[in-house]
Amino acid sequence: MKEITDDYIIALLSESTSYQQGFRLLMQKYQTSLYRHIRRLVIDHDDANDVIQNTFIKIFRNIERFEGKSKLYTWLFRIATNEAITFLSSKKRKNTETLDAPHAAFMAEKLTADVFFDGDEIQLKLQQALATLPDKQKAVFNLRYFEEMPYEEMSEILDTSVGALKASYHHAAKKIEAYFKH
Amino acid sequence: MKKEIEEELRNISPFLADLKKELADKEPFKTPKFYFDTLADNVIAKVESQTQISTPPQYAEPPNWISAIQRGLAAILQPRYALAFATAAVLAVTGWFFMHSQQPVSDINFATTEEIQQYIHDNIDDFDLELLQENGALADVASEDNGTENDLFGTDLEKLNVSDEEIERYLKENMNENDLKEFENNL
Repeated sequence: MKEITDDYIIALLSESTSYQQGFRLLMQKYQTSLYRHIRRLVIDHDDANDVIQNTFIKIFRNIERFEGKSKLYTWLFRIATNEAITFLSSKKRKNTETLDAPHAAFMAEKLTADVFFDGDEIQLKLQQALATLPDKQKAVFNLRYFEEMPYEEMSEILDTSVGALKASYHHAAKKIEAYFKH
Repeated sequence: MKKEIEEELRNISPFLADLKKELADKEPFKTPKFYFDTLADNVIAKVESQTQISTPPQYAEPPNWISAIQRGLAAILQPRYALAFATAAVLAVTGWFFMHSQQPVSDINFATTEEIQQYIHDNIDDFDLELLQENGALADVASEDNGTENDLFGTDLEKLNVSDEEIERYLKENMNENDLKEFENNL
């Protein structure tokens, strides 16, 4: 099957008559990777569902602001990351949750009971370790470790310098390793 | 690029580099069945419903100045402001009635004798004649008509064009002996 290019999607989105078709193709192409990125940040499926829907609604309403200076998927990941981090901040304010050891224990309990989590013991411990990171550092680690994204693109998504991202990733990796070995 | 990222990770944490290989192709996060098949429809339906809610076609958006008034009224009609306004209104109305109820007393104090006499003259039918006589007001009013108190009665009897016999008969029929004696003494 021929791959749908970003240029083709953007061309469809530029015409009001083909806007919805273009949007559906955009979702078809990126929904899985965006969902995975959001889910790794917010963990819970229902939360991830809310965040991804809000993300695509924002994309639907603001696609004309995409100027083509960066890659389309970089722009999409930027919106998705901002939405997820905003959601987590809001949730923490409501629940007065903290990203410390008790939160990690709570995370393990929650994931064990989650029917949409099918990880083994090591994966569960990795999620617990990730839960100890601040939200933005967790986003840095996820984009580099799981998505294998170049720092330059991460810099566009997170609006942070490449040097700061390298340092953040380094510290995050060390914290996670220490969590496994403590 | 992938190799570069892998080398970087191995330099930072060989443990995490090995862990990544171990966990490769094992995605722990699952979704409900057909989740991605319906996601686009759900998002588009949500966009459309939000658009309808934000700009309902049957209602035009009011101009800014109307919105400002509405916001102002909404602020004023908050319970604490409404209570303050109600208290102020009650005080204002009570004060107005109090001030105006005192007005006639103060007016009569400042009225001249001429003004009072003129008022009585214009509204003579409303006054008790005996009361006026007791207070000496009727004499003044009568004299203003260029006559005396008796002239006043005399003028009225002349206007009625009644004969002396008729008056005498009326008095006998309607007055007892004491009244007649008192009447004769007064003549």
